[in-house]
Amino acid sequence: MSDQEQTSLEIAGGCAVGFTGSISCYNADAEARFSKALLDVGKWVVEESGSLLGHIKAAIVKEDGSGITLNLTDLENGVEHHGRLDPQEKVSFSFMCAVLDVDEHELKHAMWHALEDTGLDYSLDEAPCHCHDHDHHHHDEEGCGCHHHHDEDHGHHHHDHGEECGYHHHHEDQEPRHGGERCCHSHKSSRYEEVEVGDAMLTGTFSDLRPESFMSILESMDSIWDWICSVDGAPELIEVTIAPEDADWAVITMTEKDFTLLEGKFPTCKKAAFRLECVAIGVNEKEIKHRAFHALEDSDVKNTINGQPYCGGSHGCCHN
Amino acid sequence: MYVYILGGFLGSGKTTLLMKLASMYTKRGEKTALLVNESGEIGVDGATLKAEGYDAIELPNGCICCSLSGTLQSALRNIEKDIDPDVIIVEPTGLALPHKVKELVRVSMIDADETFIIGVADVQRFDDLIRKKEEFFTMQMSHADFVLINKSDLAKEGQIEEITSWIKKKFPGKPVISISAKTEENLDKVYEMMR
Repeated sequence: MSDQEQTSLEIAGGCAVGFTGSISCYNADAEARFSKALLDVGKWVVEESGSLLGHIKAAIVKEDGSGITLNLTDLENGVEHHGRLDPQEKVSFSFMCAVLDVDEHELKHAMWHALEDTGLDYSLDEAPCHCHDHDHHHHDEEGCGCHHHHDEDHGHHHHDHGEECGYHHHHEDQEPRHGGERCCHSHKSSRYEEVEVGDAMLTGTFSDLRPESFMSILESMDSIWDWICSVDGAPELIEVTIAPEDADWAVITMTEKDFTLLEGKFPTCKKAAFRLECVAIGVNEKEIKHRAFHALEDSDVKNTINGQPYCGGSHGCCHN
Repeated sequence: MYVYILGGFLGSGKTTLLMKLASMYTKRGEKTALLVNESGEIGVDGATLKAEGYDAIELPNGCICCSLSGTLQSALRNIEKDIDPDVIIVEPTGLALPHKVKELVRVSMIDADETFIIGVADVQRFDDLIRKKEEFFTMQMSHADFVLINKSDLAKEGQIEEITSWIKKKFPGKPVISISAKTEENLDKVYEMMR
């Protein structure tokens, strides 16, 4: 084939992308969740190109290569399942999509989001971010394979639990990659050097954490998100890290409206240290801190907040 | 040794048909080798075949009609040397041009008695495909020895006739059979046409 000769993929106007990785605690529920990821990608393709001309496939296999495959070629028919796989501690997966008339990078992006939205305990063999141009936020209790990559090339935001976050400088020094186009994180088009990036952090102690406290914390996070939007800010991240004395940490992350991710198990305990972090574009740190303070004050979860008083006015100062 | 190339668009049912053909040849007592190709770097069809009890040689991460042309020829020579099958069934990616694959088989120096292309069209997405990629679909079907209109079990009334008429008009004289690889409808007619 000469360099100038088009490949059949180019002639057809198609693209094919995929991920490989592994899933922990695989069971029938995980199969259903993965199946939904295929459907989500299928819907995205139809929205983008008008029809699903192509296929979306996944193979979920054990070490010996046996397992199941999922195949979606038509949204009405749904996902076809081939084979059978009993619950496994760990399985490998391949997730691929070959379709027409969509942007390859956006397709990969949509696939990654579909995977994220499954709530599966998964990891990818290769970080997807190199082509995503995201300001994603990663947690690295066990270390992320793409840490250095991000730190060097992207404005991404990483946390190594227990350490101070150093993303401030990324945000200040680097341009956002999203540019406001087709962004999945509700970012606004902006340049960090032109628009203020507010980053507020409150720490303190939660008391008497019960299962229902989880919803209360989510409501607080939600109210902060809504407030940022109400003052024409662009929320980037709202995150609550809960560190009980005798249990593993839990991290609740909100990077999109109505989408939160819980890492770890929400603890029920008498006392737990917490850290609430809010990052938003177009709102200053003091304002966010103030609002976050009130969101926690209004919450049903008993808490004490460390440091100075964050609100000098009456309780009605910012509630309206 | 005969070589069959399954040509058809993505999702047209080539892998399902491949499995049926492999079973048919196995029942006939003929040694069959399966070669599947996927354009993405991630191959899934091999796992599908394995899940259904078939072993296949996978060529992922490119298209055997263009970027993986050399790999295809090596694979064919290895299959001939190591397996020496009676039949090789090649399933290229759904974005491949089967006549290019056939040409590569011809120049691969394997001792093939004859190479056939089976065109596979998909009832469900035929209209969309013609509306958006008629030229490409035509290229895929143009060198087929016969065309199968697959997924007849999902066809609406009159749809098979319409598609048959379109294909016959485009490719006069080419045999056209409506089948369902899934339900095995009319597969006996296909088997009769195969060596």
